[in-house]
Amino acid sequence: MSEQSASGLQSWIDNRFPLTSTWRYHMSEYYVPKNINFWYLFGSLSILVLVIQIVTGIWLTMYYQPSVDRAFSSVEFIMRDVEWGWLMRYLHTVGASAFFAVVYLHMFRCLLYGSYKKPRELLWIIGVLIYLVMMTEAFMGYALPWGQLSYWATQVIVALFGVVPVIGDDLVVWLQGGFLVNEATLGRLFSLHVVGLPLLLIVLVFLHIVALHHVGTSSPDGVEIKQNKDENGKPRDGIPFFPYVVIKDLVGFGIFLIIFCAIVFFAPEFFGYFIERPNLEEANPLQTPEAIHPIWYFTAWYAMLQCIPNEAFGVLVMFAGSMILLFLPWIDRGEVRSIRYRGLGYKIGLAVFIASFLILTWAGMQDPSGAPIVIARIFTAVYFGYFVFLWAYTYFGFEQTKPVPERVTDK
Amino acid sequence: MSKKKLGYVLGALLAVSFVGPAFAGMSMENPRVSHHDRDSIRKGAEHFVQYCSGCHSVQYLRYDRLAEDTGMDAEWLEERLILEEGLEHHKPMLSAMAAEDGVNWFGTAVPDLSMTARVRGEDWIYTFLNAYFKDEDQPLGFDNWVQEATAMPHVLVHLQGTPQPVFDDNGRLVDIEVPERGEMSRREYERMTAELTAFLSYAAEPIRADRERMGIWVLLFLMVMTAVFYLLYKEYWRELKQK
Amino acid sequence: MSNEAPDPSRRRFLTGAATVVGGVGAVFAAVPFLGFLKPNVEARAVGAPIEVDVSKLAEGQRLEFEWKGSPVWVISRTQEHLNYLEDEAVLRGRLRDPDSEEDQQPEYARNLYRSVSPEVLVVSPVCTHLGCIVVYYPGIEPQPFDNDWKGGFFCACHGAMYDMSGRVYSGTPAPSNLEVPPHRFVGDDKLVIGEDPEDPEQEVEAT
Repeated sequence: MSEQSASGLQSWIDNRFPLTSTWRYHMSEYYVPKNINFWYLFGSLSILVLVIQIVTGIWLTMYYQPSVDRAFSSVEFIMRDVEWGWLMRYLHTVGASAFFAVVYLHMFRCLLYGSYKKPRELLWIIGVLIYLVMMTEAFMGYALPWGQLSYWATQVIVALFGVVPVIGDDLVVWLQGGFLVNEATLGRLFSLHVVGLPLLLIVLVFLHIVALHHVGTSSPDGVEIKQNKDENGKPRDGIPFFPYVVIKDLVGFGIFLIIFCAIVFFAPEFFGYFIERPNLEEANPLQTPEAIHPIWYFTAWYAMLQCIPNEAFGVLVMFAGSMILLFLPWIDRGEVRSIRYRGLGYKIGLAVFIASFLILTWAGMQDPSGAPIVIARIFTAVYFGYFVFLWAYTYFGFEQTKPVPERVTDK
Repeated sequence: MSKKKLGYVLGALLAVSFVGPAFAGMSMENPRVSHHDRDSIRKGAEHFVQYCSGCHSVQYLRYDRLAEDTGMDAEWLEERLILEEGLEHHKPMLSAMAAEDGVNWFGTAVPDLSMTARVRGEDWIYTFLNAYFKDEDQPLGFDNWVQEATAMPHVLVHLQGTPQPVFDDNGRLVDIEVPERGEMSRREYERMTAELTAFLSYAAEPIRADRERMGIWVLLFLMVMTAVFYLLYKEYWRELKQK
Repeated sequence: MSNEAPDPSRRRFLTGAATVVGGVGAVFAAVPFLGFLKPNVEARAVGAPIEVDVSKLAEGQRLEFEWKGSPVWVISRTQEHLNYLEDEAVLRGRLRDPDSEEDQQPEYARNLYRSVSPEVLVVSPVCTHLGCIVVYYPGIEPQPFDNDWKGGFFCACHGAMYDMSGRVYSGTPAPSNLEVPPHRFVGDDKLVIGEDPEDPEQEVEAT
């Protein structure tokens, strides 16, 4: 580090902590393709939502009481008797849904532009792990208000582990800390939700960013900007993350916050999708609520579970549905990254894949009978079929790609 | 065993999803009261104390919060709402009736109504109050279209008059008529039940009206902020676009 | 290349504007998080005025009530106590703040008796030194801690002494007089602690 312009304090710090070099490496001299578009916003946005979740979560924990008798009423206490408590609660519940919305769009970007391909396989895997931890975190948080759906969803999810051969029954009792979902269950869900999983999540997000800044941001053309540097060693098609991308992201943050606050202040339940009506009723272990299904970001997986007549196989398929994403970098053998230059088969395949996920999301919200079950079966097959197709399509060389440009293109 | 348990849970979910009102030919009605209408909420609270709070609690709503949000004062609370001598104003609206009395008298615990408007919806409450009809087969002499074989007696019958069911040729309930009005005209009764609904709707989420008023300013501010960010973004990116 | 070079003044202005708007937004956003930490409804209810029955308060006696989670004493002083309070020669020289100049009492209790009626003292027994509860020594007799005791309060923690109006003796560790909470009488039997008299002037004059 040679700091000609460094002030006294700055060099004092730099001799003891790599402040300036870290800033340069990650901000002012981290180069990002200059043609990144709208789809590249959702990574930063998910960090914003993570911060919202952590801060509001810390505040909610000040009053929330993880006991079967007090959980529901402590949430209502926060909603009514703690100044601004309602806002914290709604920011947190809407934040949970926003987190998934943003992360789903972020993942879609990866599929569009092949951001999971070499050399970004580990970046992708860490990302999928973040998604898995997020789902666990969200499920546990959903249980805490101890409404009807909180209770019954916990009941159903824990019961899923009963399908494990031989030890299933004991496993369920061990997970619940009793013969049914009880005080001990709520206690461990709370502890993991507010301490355990957030720590894990933060570590994974940190690793995700470390990996990203090592391999660099992918471009919408699938072109590596690092391969074309000028005489100073700066990528010709790159722009420094600070200030250009930061300022661009700020605009995205503003637009996001407008939508987010519109929901928080005017429709925090979001028509029963973010806070479901039955969950505003205190848990009653003697009465299952009418027509229950998980919250929207889980329903695609739930549809897979529900549509398969054999429970053990259903559970397996459900877990396989998200786990298979881990292997995507090796299932897709295609050399070309971006959808802009990939074959027609890939474009159609991806569209069908996204459609199947959306249809499964819908099917998981329906009563598990008749047409929705049949539809869920079909599209579960389509969902998995996509990965088979993708492998065959790229492995056997069916794909007719277009030539990838040398440099990134302008829109 | 564990498979059975899972099957049981999933099966239970499946079974209950088919349960619904057995009567057809009628529909839920909207009370048409705004949650910003403080007068209706106040009157609804007065009706509630007069006719409902004997059995029903609103355990999460405090008296002084209600007075503050409806623009009323402590005197109103003392005169119109708080029946118990010397009860502090910050206490919640609890019914004097013990839970076991409900079980003894009606065969079921009387539900607390704090969250009902959010769980069931305003339309449900309003329609429920207007959907009683005479049925001698019921132990209390009345049935309800919204909640079949309801355990709740028709406590407002002296105001509404005795509602009579109207069946079609297939024996389906298609309408409810009140041949002889009680103390209230049809309009008055509908108005009163709408006010009761407005009160319960308020009780389920007291902050609702305030948060909407606040939300407008939040959104306006965010739009200004985003506009400034956008101009800054344009200014910085202008030079990049030219290269 | 461009003929539209970056405009430094415009850029500076917009950066400033964005910083200001962002800063205002951050301040707005902080409001709910700080407000959340304020006492909630139940905590505030602890500070609500309480109405207590003092009809059973006999001369020289003391009643204890709880207000804001701490004790409040209502003490009936004897004529002898009042005589010593009124006789300036006896105590005045030994007190740190004999005229109650510090705001340890409501305006209407800024008098010799530190109360609205001379006979009845309403006082918080929390020692102003480090928060111990003082001990009430009404007897006018020599005490181990003071040979010339005219009645009052003694803090066993660090030896602070107060007279029958709760005024602190100089030379003891407590910095100020005992606190007199707001209070008003409703008739002769009822006392409201935590609320000022509706018309304090009148009530003080009447005594």
